[in-house]
Amino acid sequence: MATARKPRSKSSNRNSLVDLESGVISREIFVNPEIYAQEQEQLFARAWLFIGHQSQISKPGDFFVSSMGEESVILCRDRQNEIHVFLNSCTHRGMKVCRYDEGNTPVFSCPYHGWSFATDGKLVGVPYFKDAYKETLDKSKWGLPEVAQVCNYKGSIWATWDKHAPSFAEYMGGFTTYLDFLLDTWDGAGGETEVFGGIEKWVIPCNWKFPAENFIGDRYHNISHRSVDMAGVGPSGVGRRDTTEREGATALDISFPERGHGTITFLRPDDKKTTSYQHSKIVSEYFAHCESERQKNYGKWARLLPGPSTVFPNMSYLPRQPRSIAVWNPRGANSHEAWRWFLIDKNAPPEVREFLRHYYITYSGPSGLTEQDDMENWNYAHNASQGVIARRHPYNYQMGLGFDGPPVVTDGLEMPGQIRNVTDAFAGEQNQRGFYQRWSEFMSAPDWDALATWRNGNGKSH
Amino acid sequence: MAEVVNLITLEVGVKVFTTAGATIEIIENPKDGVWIFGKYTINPNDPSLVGTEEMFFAQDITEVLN
Repeated sequence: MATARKPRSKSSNRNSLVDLESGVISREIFVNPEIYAQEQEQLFARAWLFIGHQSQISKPGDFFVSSMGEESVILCRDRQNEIHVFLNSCTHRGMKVCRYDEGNTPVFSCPYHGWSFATDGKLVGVPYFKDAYKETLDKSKWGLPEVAQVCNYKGSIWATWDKHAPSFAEYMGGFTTYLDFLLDTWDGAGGETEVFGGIEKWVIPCNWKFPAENFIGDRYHNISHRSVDMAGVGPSGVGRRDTTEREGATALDISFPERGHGTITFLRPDDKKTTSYQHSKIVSEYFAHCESERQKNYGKWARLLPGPSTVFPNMSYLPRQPRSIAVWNPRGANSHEAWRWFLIDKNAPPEVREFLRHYYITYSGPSGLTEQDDMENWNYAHNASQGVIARRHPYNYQMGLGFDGPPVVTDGLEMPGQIRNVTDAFAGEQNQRGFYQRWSEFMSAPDWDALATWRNGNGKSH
Repeated sequence: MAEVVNLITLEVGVKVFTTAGATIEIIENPKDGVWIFGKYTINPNDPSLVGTEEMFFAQDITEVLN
C-alpha cells in the first residue's frame, strides 16, 4: 500500500499521493499549501469553470461578478449583446474595477486612478490621457484580460483561461446527457430556466475538494442527514426529498474518469408513477403535469432520475430536489467559498416559486439543514487532517474497488460514461476515484495535448 | 477652492463646465462618481468638437450649470 509523503517539490510524483490502484489518497492533497498553489496554475487556469447563468445578465450592460478559482471575474453582456468574462482587476494597478455583486452599467470604472472599461472590456477612459500621456498610450493593449473561451450551454455560462483547452462540448463529453436534466425545464419541452432569489455565498473552513467529491457520488453519508430526515423538511413532509420516485429503480454510479465528472443516477421502471410535493395541492398538481409532459418529451430518457453530480473540477449540482448549482471556490488550502444558485422554470406560477424558495433555503446553503450537516463533516474532517500525525494516514477510497457491479439493464438506453450498478451494494467509490484520477492528471500534465487522454484512448478507469 | 462636483447626482441633460473651458451636456451617467458621458455644446478651444460625444473625468468637471 502506498503511504502518504510530503511532496518534495513542484515535480513531486503525484502517484505517491493519489494511488488509485490501491484506493488510497494522501491527506496532503487537501491540506498542503504548496499543492493548493499548484492547483491554481495546473487546474483552475486550464479547466472549464462554471461562471453563471444567462438569466443573470439578460440585458445589455448587465453584469454578475463571479469567480474562477481564486480570481474575481466579471460576467457581462455588452451593448452588442455579446457575453464576456473578464478578470476583475484594473490593468493599471490591479484594483477591482467592480465591487458590486451584480447590476447594470455602461462602464466599469476603477476607483483608484479612474481607468474605465466598457462592457466589452475595452479601455475607454484614461484620466489625463491628453495632458499626461500625450495621447500616446495604446488603449487597445490595456483592456481587461478576457478568458480564452466562453460557452453558453443551455443558459449556463462556462469559461476557461486556456486557449488550448478543448471546446466545452469536448471537455464535457457525454456528460451533458446528465447535465441537461438540470438545465432543461421540468417538462423537458425546451422552455427557459432562470436563476431565482439571490446567490448564496458563504465560507466553509475546509478544502474545496471535500464538497466536490461529496456531490460526485457519495451515497453512503445518509447517516449524517438522519436528523433532517426525521424532521421531514422534504416537500411532502417526509424525509428531506420525495424519494418515492426512486422506489424500484436501479441505482447507478456514473463516472467519466477520463474527464473527472460523475453523477449519482437512478433508472426507474418504465411504468413508474410518482407523487411529489404533497405539502401543497397547487405545487403537487404543477409537478404532476410537468412529469407527465416530461415523459412525453423525453420518452424513454424520462426513466432517468439524476441525483447529485459534479462537473470537474468544482461545479456541483442537484438536478431535482432542490434544483440548484454549487461552485466550490478555492480560498486557500484550508478554506473555500461556496456559492449556490437556485434554478426554476421561467413560467413557474408564483405559488410554486414561493414553495420552492422556502424548500430550497431550508435544504441548501448556510441556512439549509442538509448542507449544515455536510459542512460539519467537511469542517471537522479537514481540521482533523492537518496535523503531522494525521497526514501520515491516507484516506480510504477502496469501496467497490476490484469488484464489478451486476449488469445494468438499460433496455436500449445508450447511457454514456462508466456505469456501475450499486443497487445491491448501495454504494461505491468509483466516481470519487474517477475524480481524483483526473485531478492527478491535471496536476502532472504539461498541456492539453497530454490532458485530452480520450483522443488517444489513454483514459484509464478505476 | 471650488466646490467639488458630485457626479453621482447629475441627471441626463444637465450641463457642466470643464477645466478646459468647454460646456458639456450629460448624455449618460454610469453614476460611478468617476466618469460621465457627454457631448460638447460649447468648446472655445476647438469649435469643431461641438456636438461630438466623449467621456469626461470627474476632476475635469468644475461646475454644474443648471
